[in-house]
Parts: sequence; structure tokens; C-alpha cells
Amino acid sequence: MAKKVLIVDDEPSVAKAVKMILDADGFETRAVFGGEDCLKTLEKEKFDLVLLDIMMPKITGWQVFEEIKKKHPEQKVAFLTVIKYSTTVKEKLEKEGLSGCITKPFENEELVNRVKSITSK
Amino acid sequence: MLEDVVKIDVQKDILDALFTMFTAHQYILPVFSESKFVGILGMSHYARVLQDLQRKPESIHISEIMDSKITSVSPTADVKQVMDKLCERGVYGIPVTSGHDFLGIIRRQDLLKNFLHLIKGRFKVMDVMSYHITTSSIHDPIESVVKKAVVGGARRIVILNYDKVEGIITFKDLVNILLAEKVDLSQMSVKDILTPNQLTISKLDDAKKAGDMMLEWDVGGVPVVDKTLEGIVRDKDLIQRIRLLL
Repeated sequence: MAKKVLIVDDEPSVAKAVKMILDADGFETRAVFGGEDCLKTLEKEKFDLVLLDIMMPKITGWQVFEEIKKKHPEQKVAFLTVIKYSTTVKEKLEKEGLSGCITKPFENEELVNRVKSITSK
Repeated sequence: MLEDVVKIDVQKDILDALFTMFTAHQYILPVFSESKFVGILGMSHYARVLQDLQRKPESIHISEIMDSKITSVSPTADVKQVMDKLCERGVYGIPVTSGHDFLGIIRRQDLLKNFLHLIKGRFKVMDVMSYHITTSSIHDPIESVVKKAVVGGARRIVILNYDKVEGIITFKDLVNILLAEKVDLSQMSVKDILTPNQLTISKLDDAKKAGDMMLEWDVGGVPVVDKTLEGIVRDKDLIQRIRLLL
């Protein structure tokens, strides 16, 4: 069965690009363009992974992550970041329950491999 | 007043503080040593850390950058006094204390939420806005933006792509630099830390609309644009007008 991924990015062009790359590799994806929509979608549907942009207006990715942890503690979440986080930051985030960080921009193959690796754990 | 305040221990490091601020979405943290309220950590306190990027944030204790000279108000303080203190000190929030007990924090947005209705129909944006603005281009190296904030003291830097507003950079954005693996400012661009937000207002709009936008989008300032960028309306500008009406 195809793994389901929810893509959350306030820039529709980025969200759609990520969706296209993952769709082409057999993932079942949905793209939403803000934190509120992400939380609403998770109330109705289950996903194997939420790919979450950090820097979004209104509700940041950090806040969305906190909300997901409270309401759906089993949900796997990975951050999409522009800044490559330090090892200490990544370790700290993993301790907080984050499944991974994917730095933008990324090669298609790199994205697919990271998502496969996280969803198969 | 915000009563359900997330607090932080003085022994924690800067990285702990940033995580707490980001996840709790609370950009002013009361600092405690055991049960004693010993200081305040706000976003502008990170200026010192941004000035010396050689030091890793996990090696810097909160006590090194926090403000231990606490200015607080009592729960029975006159709201006008609170507004004066917030605006004069240029801070986003003031602790509310009773004797040695910490009770909560009163923030600019709390004041806007409660009193913004008072200015409806009374002022246009042009009556309250500030014409002094600091700008940078989206193509500028991040180094120059950091310099404007840290050395120049700019609280908000409006980011332009030629004439178009792309967003505003504040310390909330700048501190993201501290999370990076290699902090090499010459290799980072404004785009790396900017949350795109093309929110603008016209100088002919009602000033209340600016406050509504600030509350809805959780920002402290809205660029004023009429064809080109003319200025900025800040939460502080609105609070100062509200103050006159109380």
C-alpha cells in the first residue's frame, strides 16, 4: 500500500513541486498551504508522514509541530528547512519527537530517499 | 494579561530558550532560578549572541544575556502606565508581579486585543504611521541585515524586491541563524530566514485595520504602501494613540 504524505508549505509552488516528486515515486500525497489547514486535515485523515515547512506566516511550523505532538502523538513529522540545522539542533529536535529534517533545496532523489527512510521506520 | 506563561530555568542555554520560544510561540520568557523570578529574556537580547557568532548557542547560558533588572507592574497598575512603560522601554511585554510573586506577562498584543476598538474611525493609518523605515533588498547578504538590526538597532527591516514588499525581518527571524550547522553569514541570504508575507496597508485605511491585521497575522508592524513603500505602522504607534484616548 502506498505511503501517505501530507505536505505543508505556505509557498504553493514548493508544495506542488514536492507533491509531484513524491507522487511520481508512488507516494499518495496531499498538499496544504498553511498550519491551520494541516491541523484540520489531520483531524480527518491519517498520514504516514507530515512534511512541514518551518517558516510560515500566522502559525509557524514549530507551533504546528507542538500541536501535532499534543493531538496526534504517534504522527511522524519531518521539517522542511532552508537552513541546514546543526547536529545539536537535530538531536534536540529528535528528542522532542521529530522524525527528521530535510534541507531545501534538495535533489528529487534525495527527497524521495529521505521520505522512504522515515516512513519505513 | 497572559497568565499561562511558559517559564525557563536560568541554568538552561540559549538553544533551550530558542526551542521554548519557538514551540510555545512566546517571544518573551520569564527566567526563574528555582522558584525565584530572576530575569526576562526577549528576542532583542539575542543581539549579543548575534554579535559573536563564534560561540555556539548551546555554550551560552541564559544568565549571560537575560535582563536581570526587571521592570514590572502590579496587577492593579493603571493601564496607561503599562502602555507608557511598554512604549518607552521598547519592549514587547512587561511582567506582572505582586511582591516577589510572578503573576504573568502583559504584552502589546494583549493591549491591542482589549483596546483596539477605541481607535475605530478616529485615525487613518497616515495619522499614526512612522515614516522612518529600515529596508533591505531580498538580494542583500544577510550580514548587512544583521548589522542593521544588531549595530543599527533596527527592530524591523522591511525586505523589498525592487519596489515590492516581500516581508519584514525581526529578531524572531534573525535568531534562526543560530540553529545553523555552519554560521557563515557570507554564505546565507535574506531568503534563508525570511518568512514571505506580502501584508501591506494603505495610508488612507482606518488605523484599526492595521491593528486587526497585526492580531490576525501575529506581527508587530505592517508596511504602508501606496504604489511604493511609504512607512510602517507598528503596534507601538497604535498603543500610543489608544493611550491618548483613555
